Amino acid sequence: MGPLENMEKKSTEINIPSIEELKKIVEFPGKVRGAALKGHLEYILEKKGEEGLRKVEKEMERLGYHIEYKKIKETEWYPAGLAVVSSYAIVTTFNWGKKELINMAQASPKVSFVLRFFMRYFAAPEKMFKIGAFRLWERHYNVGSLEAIDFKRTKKDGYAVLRLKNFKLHPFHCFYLGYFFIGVFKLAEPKFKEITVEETKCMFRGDNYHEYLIKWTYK
Amino acid sequence: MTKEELHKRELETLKEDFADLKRYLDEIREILPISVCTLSSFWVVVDINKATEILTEYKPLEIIGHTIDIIFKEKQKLEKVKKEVEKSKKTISKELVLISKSKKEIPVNISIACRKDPEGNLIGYFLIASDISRSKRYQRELEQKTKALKEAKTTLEIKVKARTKELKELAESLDEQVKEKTKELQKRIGELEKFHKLTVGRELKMVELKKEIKGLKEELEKKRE
Repeated sequence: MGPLENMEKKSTEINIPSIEELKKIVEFPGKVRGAALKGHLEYILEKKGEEGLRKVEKEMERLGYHIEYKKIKETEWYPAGLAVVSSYAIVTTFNWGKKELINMAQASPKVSFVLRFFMRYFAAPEKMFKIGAFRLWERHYNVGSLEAIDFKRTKKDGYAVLRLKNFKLHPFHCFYLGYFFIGVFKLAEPKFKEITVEETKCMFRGDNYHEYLIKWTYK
Repeated sequence: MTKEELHKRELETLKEDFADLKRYLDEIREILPISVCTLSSFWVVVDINKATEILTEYKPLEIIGHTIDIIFKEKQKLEKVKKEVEKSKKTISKELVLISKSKKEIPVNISIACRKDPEGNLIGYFLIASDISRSKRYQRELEQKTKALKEAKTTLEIKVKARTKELKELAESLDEQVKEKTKELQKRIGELEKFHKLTVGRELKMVELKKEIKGLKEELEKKRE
């Protein structure tokens, strides 16, 4: 039995947090680089323009978090939970669903200075998984750790398993992160026919860590 | 100051320096007038500057994550350039046609350089593109003008040739006329010479006759005496 068959397959459905949950999420002690929030800014501007940005900032205000996206410094650290609140505010402002959240998560790495600066980890997909995953996580978050557990690639297809430890924000963010990883992976290799992600283990389901199974086929 | 405090201070300084460096790079990305794209080792667009946005009409989110092929018309020519860069590991410059988001075709001069990590492994490429449509337009105009000048020159040459031919024919015709006239003149001269000879002969005869008459007159006078 191969590693794929050993994986516990569970669904990765979108799970929107409640207002009370958001408050707890923001109290989470970890921090995230402003680059993550800048990704949201670029995506809002791209999809909804300045007017859309004002609406999201208004929604953030309503939720009790004053934020001016354009003043965010990419290199500064912000409460990690703020990224979740930001995703929540964007989704609710524009009445977006799973599809739009996936698109936003995948687009986020495209504008991250962290990824631009650390392109050396993208020289080969194997390198990106084995070394880059850990290093890139470190540069985005000051808590938790991401490591590549398994990686296999043939000419036709491949899979990778990423394990995220000591990072428990909300299932909504677990879902977001899965597609963020796909976004990163797409920057490294262009010839995917199909690429999917599944959170096979989750700390919110009683597991000791999160585990993501990324599978792909080539054109 | 304790060792921990020194490390903390050093970290703070490094953070400030990093932020400054980041800001400096962002400023350069914004003001650089030529298009610069950062590509992964798989030719995927990873970053673009403002000039690239203006040139291609693509926003970063629209183009990042796609292979660079998306913005070029001549795919085969681009593949050749890629292979050349991969093989030579040197900076290669070529002329290609860029296709903007609105399908506008823009001639560009591109330069591709390899990016390497500190160990010398290839980690991607820098692609620089400059719009040469203006110089191409001037070149086209110059070519058109040169062509027009060449045509004008050819026309002029034909005209000159025709005129020369006309003049040559005229000259030949005049030559013929001169020859005829000369011939006619020579004939006249011959006739005149003949006439001259005749008249001179007659004159001489008359002189002789006059002498003879005079001699005879003198003999006659003597005999009368």
